[in-house]
Amino acid sequence: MVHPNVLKMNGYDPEKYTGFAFGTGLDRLAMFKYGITDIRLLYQNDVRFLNQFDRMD
Amino acid sequence: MKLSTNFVKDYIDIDVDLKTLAEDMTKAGNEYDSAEKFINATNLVVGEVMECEMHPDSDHLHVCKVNVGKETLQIVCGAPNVRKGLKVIVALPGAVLPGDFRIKAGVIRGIESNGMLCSIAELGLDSKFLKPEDKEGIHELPIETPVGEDPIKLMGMEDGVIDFELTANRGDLLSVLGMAYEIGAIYDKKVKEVELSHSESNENINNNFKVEVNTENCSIFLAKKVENVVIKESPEFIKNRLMASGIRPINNVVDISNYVMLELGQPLHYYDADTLNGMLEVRMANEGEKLTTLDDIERTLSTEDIVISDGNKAIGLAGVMGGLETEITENTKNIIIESAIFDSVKIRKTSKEILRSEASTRFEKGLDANRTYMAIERSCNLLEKYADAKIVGGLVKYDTTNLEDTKIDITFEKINKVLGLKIEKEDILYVFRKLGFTYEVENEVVHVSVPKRRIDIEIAEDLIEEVGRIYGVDNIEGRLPALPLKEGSYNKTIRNIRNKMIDLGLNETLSYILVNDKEAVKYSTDIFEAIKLLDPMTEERNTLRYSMIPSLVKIYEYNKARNQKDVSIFEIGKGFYKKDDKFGENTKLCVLMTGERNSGLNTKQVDFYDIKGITEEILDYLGYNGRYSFMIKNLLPKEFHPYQTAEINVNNDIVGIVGKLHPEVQKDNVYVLEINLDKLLEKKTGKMKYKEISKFPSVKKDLAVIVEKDVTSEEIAKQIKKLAGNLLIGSKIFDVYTGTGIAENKKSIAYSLEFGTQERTLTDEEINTILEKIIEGLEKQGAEIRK
Repeated sequence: MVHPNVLKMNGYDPEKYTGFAFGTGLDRLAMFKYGITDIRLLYQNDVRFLNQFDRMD
Repeated sequence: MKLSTNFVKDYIDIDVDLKTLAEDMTKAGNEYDSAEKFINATNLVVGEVMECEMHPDSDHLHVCKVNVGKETLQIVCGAPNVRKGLKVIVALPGAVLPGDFRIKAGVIRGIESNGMLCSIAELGLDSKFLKPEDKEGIHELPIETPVGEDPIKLMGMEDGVIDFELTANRGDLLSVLGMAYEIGAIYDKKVKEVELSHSESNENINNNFKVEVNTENCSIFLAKKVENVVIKESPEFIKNRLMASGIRPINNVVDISNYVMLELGQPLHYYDADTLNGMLEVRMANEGEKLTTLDDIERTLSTEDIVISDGNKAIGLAGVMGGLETEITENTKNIIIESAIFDSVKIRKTSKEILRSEASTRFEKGLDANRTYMAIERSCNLLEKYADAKIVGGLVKYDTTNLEDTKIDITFEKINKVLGLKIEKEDILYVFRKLGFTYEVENEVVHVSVPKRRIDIEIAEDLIEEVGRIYGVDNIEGRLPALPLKEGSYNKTIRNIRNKMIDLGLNETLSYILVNDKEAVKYSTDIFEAIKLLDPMTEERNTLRYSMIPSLVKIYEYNKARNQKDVSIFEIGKGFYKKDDKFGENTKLCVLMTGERNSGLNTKQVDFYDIKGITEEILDYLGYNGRYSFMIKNLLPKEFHPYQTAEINVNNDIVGIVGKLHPEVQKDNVYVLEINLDKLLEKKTGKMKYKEISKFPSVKKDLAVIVEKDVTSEEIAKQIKKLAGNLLIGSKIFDVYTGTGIAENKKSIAYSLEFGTQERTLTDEEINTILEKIIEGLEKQGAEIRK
């Protein structure tokens, strides 16, 4: 949950607004979709990895 | 935090397997990294060496007959300490040792061998825990060890270890007791009492020992004295639990201080009492004050560091590391135990400079002062039991802390509103009970009392979070967001460029925006200041990138190290800079090409013309046909090849660079391209307009020109165009050649020239006249025509 102080500092009234923080970036969605087992693969840029994504989907 | 399940079972009765426990903890918000047996080996049995003969065909192997209970096995063993009568750990055929090392029956130099005699190292114990003899030979079990039993069980090493990656707010889980409370909340189990009892002498430590706290950065400081300790090895369970938790056993006294820290989360420090002058003082260090720490390094301190002093000089760096002078040695008899809490911010600063230890990590997160009292009593309990200590009566005490529970008022309605759920009142109260929080309900309001062990819980929202996670994230029904979703937007031109690059056969990469400061300024002659982070997580990533070329080069090296040498990649992303005190950013296209590349049916080695071709393709595609040129760059970045690099000029303005990396920087042939897309896309493009197609056929002629190596193809093309006049409607390079038949300092460039006009078909004569004119003109400027 977003700490009420964070909301306050950003100009939101914590009595009115609440927030949740989740670690679900695009990379995680891609992991689900393509069955990628290690998130670091997305940033290692191994050509054997990249070559697998050279088609329409 | 590595949690030994044997250890935590001292405090909570659970009967779940390791993986289930780890998963259930994760569901409650405490992620785990690994959950494995402490000794991850199967099919081990205690054996007795009945016979031990030299191997007939070896000068170091022995052939042993080993009684394993049910049978006697013949096993060949190479350890120097194997001998008749030894009790050993036998890995039977079918055993799997750590590292997926499978034991099979086999034949070693002609002699049958049915298993393996094991060393401790082979059981997978971390090398930092190994004694010298563990590295040299097989493990020798005590002579009374019963044959046929499970040796891991007998050695007390049958344990499961879960390595948790905890969130920053859960400092309370950096202790076995904290873990027990958390597990208790999940399974609704009571946590058992910590054993603190011990006897004490009639003396009072306060009569001849005092503590002075002269800084506000220490909220509580307790000291007790114990006498006549006997320093020896710790009992097996202490050693095994320390190792399972990642701490190396040293001797009983040092081990007990670590054991209590693991158990209760409160770091302790033990001083050799005989090296002190009857007092300890807590104060801030003087500027430039020197202190030699336990690791025998002389540290220079600042007024930001909290120190412990003996009244005269600093003898310890509070909460981070003790001093060498007062440490526990093999000859220590009497001990002063320190149990204290120091300011978390100050400890963090000091430990960042000097050393992050198990102790400092715990101080940084904050501690419960109730544990400060508990830990000193627990120390006495264990020292009495396992170090024969006599505990001196009384406690030296300085305490400004508040040990009371935190009181928070909350309504059922608010909990459900924030979580977006409809949890029954009774279910909410059940969560509080499981967590060990007491409460009083007054109409719709719950007055909750949170014990100080949960120092992370300060406000109503923290309680709501507790309800959410213990009630169970899995119990929350999935629902689509109630807000209308809007389609996102994207930059169409950038997307088109990306697709074009992919069409050209390049792979798109995604690299980090943060790079190392030394790399950030490479591959450029631009004048700018790299933007460094104020507080980087690691020096490897301390600066915003200016270009992606350094990252692409690293990606190439990463692939090359994995034997992938054909790399053609691009990336579109932002580069950042500071210039004249202003921050700015640019969208850039960067390309790297090396190794082989497919062109139609053939593969060929990438050369300069490939990457120049890619550049032309993308510029033509964007509508800059006829508006760009490649110019020799006068001021080259030192990482580029002096003769195979060009500036990309569009509408008489430089928008990028293309070239080969300097052989001194990169010994492989690696070509790179960078275009500042923001700058490029501002430039005027030509209109897409139909041009009449000639009714008359055009004629093609080939021409190979030999020139000095440093003459660019661009210059020659320009000359040809000038000499040919307007009947030349197209020219293309189709070959560049150096080598046999061509002088060392020269190269041959072959052009395909196309002639034509809208009005008529050109005659051979006309074309030959033009060709002669071209040849004559080129020869006048020193070129040679290859026949």
